Amino acid sequence: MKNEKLSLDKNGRFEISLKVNGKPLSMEVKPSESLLEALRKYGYKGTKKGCDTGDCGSCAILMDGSSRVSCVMPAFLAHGSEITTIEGLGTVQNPHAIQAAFVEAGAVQCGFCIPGMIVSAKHLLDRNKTPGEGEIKHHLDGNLCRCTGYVKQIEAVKLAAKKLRKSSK
Amino acid sequence: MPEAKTKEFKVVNKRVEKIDSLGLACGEPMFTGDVDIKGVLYAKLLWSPHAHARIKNIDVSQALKIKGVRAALTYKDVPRVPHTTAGQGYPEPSPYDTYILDNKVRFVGDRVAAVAAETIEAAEEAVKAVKVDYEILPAVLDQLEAMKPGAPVIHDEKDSKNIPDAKRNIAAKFDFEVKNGEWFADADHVVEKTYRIPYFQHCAIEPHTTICYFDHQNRLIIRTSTQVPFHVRRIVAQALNLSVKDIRVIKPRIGGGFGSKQEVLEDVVAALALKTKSPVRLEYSRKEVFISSRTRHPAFMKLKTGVKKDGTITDMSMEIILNTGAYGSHALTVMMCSGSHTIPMYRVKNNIKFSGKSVYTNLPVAGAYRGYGATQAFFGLEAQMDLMAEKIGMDPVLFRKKNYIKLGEGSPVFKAMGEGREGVEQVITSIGLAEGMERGLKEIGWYEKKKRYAAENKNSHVKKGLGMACLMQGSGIPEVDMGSATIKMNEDGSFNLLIGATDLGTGSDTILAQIAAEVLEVPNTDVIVYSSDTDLTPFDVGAYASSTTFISGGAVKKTAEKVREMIIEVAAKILDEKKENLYLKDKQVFSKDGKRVTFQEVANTSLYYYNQHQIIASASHFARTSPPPFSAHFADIEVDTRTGEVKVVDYVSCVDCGTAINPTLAEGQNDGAVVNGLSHTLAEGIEFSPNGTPLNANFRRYKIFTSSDIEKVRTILIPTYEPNGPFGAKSVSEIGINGPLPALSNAIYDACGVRLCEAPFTPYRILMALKKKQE
Amino acid sequence: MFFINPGVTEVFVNNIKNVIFPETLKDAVSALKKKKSFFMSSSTFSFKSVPEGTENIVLAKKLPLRYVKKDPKNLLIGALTTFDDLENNPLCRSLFSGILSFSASRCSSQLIRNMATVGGNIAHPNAFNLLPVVLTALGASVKVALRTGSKTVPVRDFYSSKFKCGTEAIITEIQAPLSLAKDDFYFEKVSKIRSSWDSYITVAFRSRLRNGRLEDLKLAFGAITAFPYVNEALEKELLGAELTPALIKSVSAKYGEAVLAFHPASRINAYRAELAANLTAFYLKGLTEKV
Repeated sequence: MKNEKLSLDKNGRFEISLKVNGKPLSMEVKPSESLLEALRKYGYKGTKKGCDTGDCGSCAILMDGSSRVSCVMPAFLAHGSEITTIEGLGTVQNPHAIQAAFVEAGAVQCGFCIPGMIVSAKHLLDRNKTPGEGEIKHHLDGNLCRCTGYVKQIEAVKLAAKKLRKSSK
Repeated sequence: MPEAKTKEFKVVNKRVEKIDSLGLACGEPMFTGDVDIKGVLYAKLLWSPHAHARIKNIDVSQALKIKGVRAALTYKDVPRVPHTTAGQGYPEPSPYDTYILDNKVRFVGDRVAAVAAETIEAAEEAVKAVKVDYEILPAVLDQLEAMKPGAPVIHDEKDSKNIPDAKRNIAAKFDFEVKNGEWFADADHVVEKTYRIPYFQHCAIEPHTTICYFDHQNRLIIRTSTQVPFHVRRIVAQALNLSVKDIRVIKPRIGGGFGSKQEVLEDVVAALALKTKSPVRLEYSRKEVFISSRTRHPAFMKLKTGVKKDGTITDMSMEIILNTGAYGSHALTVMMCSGSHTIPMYRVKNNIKFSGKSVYTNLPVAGAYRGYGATQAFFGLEAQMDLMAEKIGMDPVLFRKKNYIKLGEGSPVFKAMGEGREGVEQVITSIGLAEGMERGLKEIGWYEKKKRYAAENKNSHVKKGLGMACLMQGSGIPEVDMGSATIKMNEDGSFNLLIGATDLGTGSDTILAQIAAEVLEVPNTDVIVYSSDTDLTPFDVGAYASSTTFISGGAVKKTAEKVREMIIEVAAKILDEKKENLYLKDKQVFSKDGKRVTFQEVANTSLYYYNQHQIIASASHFARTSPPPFSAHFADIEVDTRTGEVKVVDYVSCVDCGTAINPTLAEGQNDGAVVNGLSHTLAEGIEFSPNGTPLNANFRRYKIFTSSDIEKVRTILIPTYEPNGPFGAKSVSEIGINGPLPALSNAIYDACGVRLCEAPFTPYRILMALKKKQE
Repeated sequence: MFFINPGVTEVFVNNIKNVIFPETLKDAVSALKKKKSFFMSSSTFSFKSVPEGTENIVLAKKLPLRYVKKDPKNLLIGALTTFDDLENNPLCRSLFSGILSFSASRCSSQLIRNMATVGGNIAHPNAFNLLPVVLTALGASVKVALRTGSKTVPVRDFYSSKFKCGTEAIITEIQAPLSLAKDDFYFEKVSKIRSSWDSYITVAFRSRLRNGRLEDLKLAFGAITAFPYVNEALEKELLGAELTPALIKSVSAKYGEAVLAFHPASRINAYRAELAANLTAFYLKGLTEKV
């Protein structure tokens, strides 16, 4: 069986194929480039760089449905995968229920951690429609926030779960 | 009485949506680094590997040869202008001891050289290619050691200014005494204790980011993550020998600051931009934020207090020695606030003494950090209150109730100690501490749990305990902090509000719009806010000292009132009425006998039809007092005596911030401050090697609280009405961070008899203290 | 196999020329034959620590190694199973007192648990890897694919010089013997922050009582050094003996001393020694109360 292979082109780049927010995308990336850097380079500015060691979660994205930190992931690892960034969940014109919930609950202060936090919340609510407070805290524990103390963010996830349950009825 | 006033409000004291929340939640590119500028160069700094050294020789020739490198600056290439990086009003009460680049390095992480290149990789390579010959000097890493004779002199340069005693490494000092008799003569007990806190870092999730570029008229534009755009403009001009008119500073959305961005670090980026005549972008890495931006002032504090059996506090002596690191930014002011924001909390019968010093060491530079000295001092003061209560056998709650400052009372400290200079005489004009204490005691179940825990602790390795703390802060710096606003009216009856005030995620844009909207009788969504642009918005000192709601809010209110007058003037002509008979209500102007005209008509009349003019006004505000917010904190904790781990089961803070302009935002500020406090109390601290190298300058090893580290954290707003504040408001953002250190020290003592006076209270410290106690 | 310094800032990924996505184990092993090749799974750690000179990355992404299942003798966990998988898997929850699920839930943070793999956690010995101490208590074995075929090695030998495999080996599976599935397991991680990567100490204990005496026992201590610490002589003192308070105190103290001996001058290690003693005493006391 022939295995998929990426090789450097003449510019020293890999050409990777993936889907971002449902759209097929071809990215030229250096071997050392992280997925975070690649995404931001291609205009997905919502995903943030807070630390570069995978410890703050502001770079969180969904890869094949699972929330992960993108700063410690080489871009080439995303070849063949489906990536969802915060922009893929909703827009100001048409926000996702989770985004609306964060706004309503007063859970957005400086907003820098929020895209990653919402991505983590999406992952949780995709697999568990009725998360308890403990589960919410456990699932969001990779997203650091210094502004809110997490208090209203936990309320926001509860509210988002309620909104999603209502809309699915 | 306070309740009646808040019931009258239409927009103020309402939980309106924060205006930027939705954009942020949708990942809109709103932060400094979210723009792509054509031709931008990437800046990288070379940091010192030595704690103390002279640069004998520095050679950037190899760095300049690297492909893509466009500039490599050393101290030889930039003006040598002593200045302070502290974002404070001019003339800044901090030593002028900093240079853009210097021929001496004073801490591991100090600036050595700056490089700009077409790619980040070229910049990194260039930094490595800079050759430096250092003459390594002995270093001093402790503030007490640094004052001793024979200690290395960190600022031995001739041209620095305003250093009280450079030979002894003293960057700031202040002494104050009120003497009414012999010290401790009246006391039945004297309690003396030393309290220490280490280096804490703000850990704002967005690292410091600055982009400098030129507009079409070749003016330097600084787009930066800052709390102090006007101070940035002035200090960059000063450091680079430019004029203020040559520079424009724009603050986009910022990812948190907490004081770390109340500092002017943009000068070196501007220097690179000027040199290369290209846009230059500098983004600190997380490690660089930890080491080379700013931190809290580590403190060594000695408290000696006297108390009588009846609960009277007879004497209070506070000696505080802060470690200000290698440069003295905020050295004087943080030190003074540690006294001015804390000592007035309680009535002292006879003698008060404050003796403060900020001392240079060869360690990271301390600056402004939420709490600003009060965090350090309340640790000691509120622990000391419990110690004194125990000595006289009095309930610590009753002891505080007996002694805290009351409405109408003042303190000699208010006049003697401001922030960097003499303060102002003031009395307390609003205080909700009594209600806060009652509410907090009830919410946490204080008395019931005290009884229950005493019994439960007998048979468990998990010891439960309760602790409390009472706090105050300030609302802006009186007679120093100033803010201004401009409001103009549009055709449809909406308004543009231009403010210098800096929203760092606190929501100040939103609450200032609420204040304007309240005066102008419109929904807050009819007020369009633009803030923090030194070309377009009027002056404001910036976001610090808890001044935005109180001072900038005052300016907005005044401005809106002026605009109201202008609207009434036009409406009077339209309605053919006397101005005195007109009032604003619901986007219209009404006359007392029922005639009315819409804002739209007023605006169109003024812009287009008759006596054409733009309805626009500006006003400024500064305050003569700084009415403190008050807060009562209660902690319910568990100590696992097998491991020393502490679990905070419930933390209640009842905060009096006057009228909360936006209760949701006020609660959010307090929640964040409290959790930051819990985190530094239990888990934070920068560790250093013996040669001054930070060992845990990353989020891997310096980990802050996550969502799984909190159990119950509750903020309860206690409404009062501050007559000197806009619609009764005081400040709220800082006070919350001061409670956890003392509340937890008191709770841990209650739970297992171990009294911790050195932060952080790690499981290691607690277990070893338990072990010692057993022996 | 090689040690990785978590403080490493040198990034050697710049020399990478090829990335291969093998779909079978055979292809993966053969791809590693090529010089300067390196195997990477989720890269939570390995991205920044690729050995100098690496030119070929063999990515695990498509290999069918993500599963948790039983065979007659063992619980089988594929090397690409994530910590999140372990935490939520029904077999991991029900067998071995749920230690696999519980310990996985205490690994770092959710964003890492979603990515970090079982194989990655044991491939490079490091004090902050959580699984080795748990696998030691489980008496588990590690299956490795080599050029010459596959080999199954007990965990205790995996880190010793008894087993040399070089960088061409691929961890494929963990096998936990079901004969121990009903034993009593205990796991605890002591750290300043719940979701930290590292900890002061981790302990994974296993015991089986018969007539009030210990029939079998494994006390494994992690996070002290790169390898789990086990002391069979001290375990022997407890096997079959009456668990009196005096014996518990004495053996716990000896564990403390043993941990202290690793870094006698370090204050933090003195604390770890206390933890080792206290947690051992706590567990053993708990066993006596079960009788």
